[in-house]
Amino acid sequence: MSSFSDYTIEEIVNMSLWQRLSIYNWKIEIFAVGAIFAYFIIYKIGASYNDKIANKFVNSIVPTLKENFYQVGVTSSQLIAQDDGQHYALYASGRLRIKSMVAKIELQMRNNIFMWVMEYIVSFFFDSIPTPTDEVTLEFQFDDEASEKFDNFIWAIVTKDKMDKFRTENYFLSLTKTTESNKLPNQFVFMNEVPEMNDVLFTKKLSDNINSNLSTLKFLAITDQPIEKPAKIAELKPTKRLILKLSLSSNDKTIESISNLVNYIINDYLDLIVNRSSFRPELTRKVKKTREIEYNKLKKQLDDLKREELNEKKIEEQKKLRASLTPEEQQKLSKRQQERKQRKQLNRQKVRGAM
Amino acid sequence: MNPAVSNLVLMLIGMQVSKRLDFENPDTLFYVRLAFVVGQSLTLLIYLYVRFTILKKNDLTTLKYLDAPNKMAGETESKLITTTVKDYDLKQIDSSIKGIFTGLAMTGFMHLYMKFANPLVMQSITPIKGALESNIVKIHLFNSPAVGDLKRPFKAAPSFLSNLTGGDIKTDKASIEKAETAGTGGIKEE
Repeated sequence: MSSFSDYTIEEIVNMSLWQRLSIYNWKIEIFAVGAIFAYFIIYKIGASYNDKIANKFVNSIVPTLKENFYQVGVTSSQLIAQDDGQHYALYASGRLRIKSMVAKIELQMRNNIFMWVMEYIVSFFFDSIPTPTDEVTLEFQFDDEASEKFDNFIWAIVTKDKMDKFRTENYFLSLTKTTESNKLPNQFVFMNEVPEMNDVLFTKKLSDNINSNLSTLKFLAITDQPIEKPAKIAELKPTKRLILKLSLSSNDKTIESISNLVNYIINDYLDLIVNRSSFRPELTRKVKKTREIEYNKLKKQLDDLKREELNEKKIEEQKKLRASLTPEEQQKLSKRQQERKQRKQLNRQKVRGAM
Repeated sequence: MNPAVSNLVLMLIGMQVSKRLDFENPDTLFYVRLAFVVGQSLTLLIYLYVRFTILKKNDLTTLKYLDAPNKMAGETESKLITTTVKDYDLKQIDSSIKGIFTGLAMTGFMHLYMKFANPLVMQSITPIKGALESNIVKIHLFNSPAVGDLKRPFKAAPSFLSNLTGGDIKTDKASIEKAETAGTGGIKEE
């Protein structure tokens, strides 16, 4: 291929535009456009694979949602909201006993292949960066009427794989005790406040569904306490909900067993919780105690903070006052303060002497 | 022999050996480099094999212990770790594998950038020795029963730094029960 350097300046000046373009070396441009195009194709493949996973899951539970909820979808015309190539959300509302259902789907960064590979490598070397996974978190919030009908408690079935991560991420799980049980498959543990609740809440059908979701179920939790550690007293107020975390894949069989579990929960289990979880006072005593302790801890923390702030304010005000005075006045003030201190000490000695 | 003592002995021998080697000679340098690469690969292979056996055994027995607080990071209370034997073992082996890479980076820097060849001699033997002496390899490669010193969680070897970095791991029932429902989770990170 020829290039500009093969010609003299006069020759180039006399060429037409087309002639000049044809002798130009287009290698870099071709490479750049090719790279962009390849990146775009990879992006499209990754994004469409993510779309496929999300849609498969959503489509598998939509029939049940439509039967149970008045509104299914983020708006009346749109079913799922997509934030970017890896985050999706589904919303449903208008069912007896349930205020709302939010499903958040978080998939691997397949749409951005460089970041995806990086995440895998970095997650091996740093504990703070999690290994990429495909997950969905469903949160069913009970309405006020249903909430009044059953007790406050935390009860969960959690997969043993990386269970410490769930305990550090979720405040409510860190209030529970972890116990193994021969009722459960070997891959799971109970995290609950009172073990006796297992008899009521761990139903035969739930057990069957968990058995067919051994590798997909991350945790199933019924809780009145929040996910994030409360920083205000108001956040300690119980809001009852059922949280279900599952891992997703595009495999038809997995999707089917996941949707069976979700369907069972929506159709029967939510009502079962409301109807049957009123426990004997001996059982709920421990639960109440835990909440009291947490309330006192938070209150003490907030009080300490307030006191500190007040002290700081006082010191600052004094500083300001001093700065506004002339040097003589400042001297006078410090003299007066010292006198006052001395008088106080004297008084104290006097009182002691009188005794 | 106590691993600390044998390490010291090995270091002294290594120093004497590397003193006598002529690193200017390309042949010697080649064999030293070869020994280093073989040593590191062998260590990695041992660890990868152990990792594979851990995954195959898939021991899901629950393990609870109180991790020592990291005083350097300003932690005051020990944190409860709820995990399984498998996850615990994987964590140990992964940190050993990470250790190989950090060692490789350090020696690589010293050799390629600062042109020292002495560390290569030591670094071709100590990682293998360290690997064969580590608790996790003893359990999975030599099938030693996990009792005594090999009982999980492993106790850290006492060192002069242990006062700085915090106390020891606790496994008694009372402290675990107290820490278990302490509500330490869900703290939002900025």
